[in-house]
Formats: sequence, structure tokens, C-alpha cells
Amino acid sequence: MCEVCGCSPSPSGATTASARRVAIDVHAPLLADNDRRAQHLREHFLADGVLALNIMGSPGAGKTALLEAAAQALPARRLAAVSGDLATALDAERLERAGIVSAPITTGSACHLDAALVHDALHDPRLAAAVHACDVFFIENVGNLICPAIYDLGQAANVVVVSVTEGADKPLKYPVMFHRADLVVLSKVDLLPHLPGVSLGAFRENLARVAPAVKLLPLSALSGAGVPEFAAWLEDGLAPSAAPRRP
Amino acid sequence: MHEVSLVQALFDQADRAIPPHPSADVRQITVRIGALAGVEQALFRSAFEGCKGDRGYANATLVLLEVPAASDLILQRLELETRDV
Repeated sequence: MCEVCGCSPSPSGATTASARRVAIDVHAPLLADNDRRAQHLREHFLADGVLALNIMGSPGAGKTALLEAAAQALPARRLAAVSGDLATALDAERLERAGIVSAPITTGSACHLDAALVHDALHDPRLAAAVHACDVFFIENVGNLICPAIYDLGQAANVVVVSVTEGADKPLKYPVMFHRADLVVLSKVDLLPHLPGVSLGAFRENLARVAPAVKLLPLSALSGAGVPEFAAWLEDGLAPSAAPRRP
Repeated sequence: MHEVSLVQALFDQADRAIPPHPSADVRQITVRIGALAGVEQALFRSAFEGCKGDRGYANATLVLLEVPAASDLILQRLELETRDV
């Protein structure tokens, strides 16, 4: 008889004269630790009245340009951001120049942000003070249409940015990402006339197949088309009546 | 590849679930994976095999239960072999 945990050999479970199999039903989510940290962040954001958004999309989709455009469209709003990047602080520097208090999260080889990385970034006193006092906190994820979708970061909503140059088939190829989106921004629409194989209609149709209820917003940060609508969507999220959409 | 970090999270959960026992040897780990979990099973298996020795699960085999139309990612069950001490 084992004196440590109280187990005792049973004839049905014995594999040798002195060994036996023990089954433990666990039923624990693999990402339970991340989800607990994310909930901690969410409680802080809600208590501070901060609209936290997880901005996801491929490298070069226009995530940073979207946030720059938002800063220009919402001069009276206080904005803060973190930018996930494998190796540089370039996006955070761009956002700073646009008037958004920002900090980089350099992930090294990690292809996504998780709640611990966001939480650690908020230990920076300058960023923490800015986020505490801001209206909108943008969490600009690492450029990737796969991994970032499954990690809760404490956000109120997911924004997926996809550019017209990536093709109209992206919702079909990356259904998990689009399925979890609250808003899909189709960026660089000023380039559509130069892309005979890509149409807004085809993108809308493909998106509807994987996420029929999600809002689609065609936008060009260069021409400004769609930017007022994005600003209005942010304002809607800041309205006192807006309910948290995550988790 | 996020499958590596998911496998590390799996071993963290398993570490917590196993009662203290000087000779517990995990032989099988069962995970439920939803079709919408965003996890590639082959990569998950590969990450599991690559990491299990370093995490003290060298003798464990992985059983994946796919759940259609779900985003589950759950450590379902552990099977240990224990020896009397």
C-alpha cells in the first residue's frame, strides 16, 4: 500500500505484481492559465472604462495604418496601444508619432501575443498610466492569421484586418480567425481597381460563409474611405450602453 | 508555431492534476480538440513528442479526440502507472 497518496493495487488495474494503472479525469482547458490572466486584464479594463481591442491580421495587412487613421479621426479620444512584433519596435514608434501612447512587445520567436505578455507590458509605468486613463487600448497582435485567434487577451472585441492584396479567399482559408472576429476591416480598397481577380462582392460572400453575422468594413487608410465608419464603430463601443462582447 | 506553447500548457495542467506520488509515471494523455480550436493535430503531436521528455512525460502517449463544430481544447484524462513504495 502506498503511504503517499493512499492508492492500493487492485486485481483489475494491476499491470505487474506491484504496479497498477490509475486514471484521472481532469477536464481542464489547456489555456486556463491564459484565460485567468485575460480575465484579470478584462476586469481592469472594464473598471477603468477602457475599450480594449485585439487587432489581428497578416503582416502588412495595414493594422498599424488603421490605428494611425483612427488617431487622426478621433483627436479628442485618448488612445494607447501595445504592438506585438518579433524583432522590432517600428510599429510602436509609428503609433507614438501618430499620438498614441505605445509600447512594443517583442516576442522573439513567438507568433502571437498571450495575456501574460500584455500583462507584463502593462508593468511599464508610462504605458500603465496611459492605459488607465485612455478611452481605447489597441492590442496590435503579431502579424499572423492563425495563432493569435485562440488567445484571449482581455479584449472587448476582436478586429481582423485583411487587405485586398491578400485575395478574397482568406476567410475560407483561415476560418477560425474570421469566425472569432467582431469586425473585419478590408483594407487598401483603393487598390481594388488594380486587382482584377479580387472583388468586394467575392470577399463579402466568402466571409458570410464562415462568419455570417460579422460586420465588414471596406477601408483605405490612404484615401480615408471607411475611416469615419471605423471611428463611429469605436464610438459605439465606447458608449455607456455598449455591452462587453468578450468573452 | 503555437502548438508548442499549447503543449507546454498541457504539461502545466498535467503537473497540477497528478497527485503527489514518488513513482507516478504518466502513460497516456487524452486531449479533446475542437475542429474550430485553431490547432493542427499533426503539429500538436509533433510538439508533444518533442517536448515530453524534457517535461518528465517520456513514457506518455497522446490520444486526441476531435470534436466537430467546437473550439474545445481540453485536457480530458491522464492515465498513470504507479508502483508501491
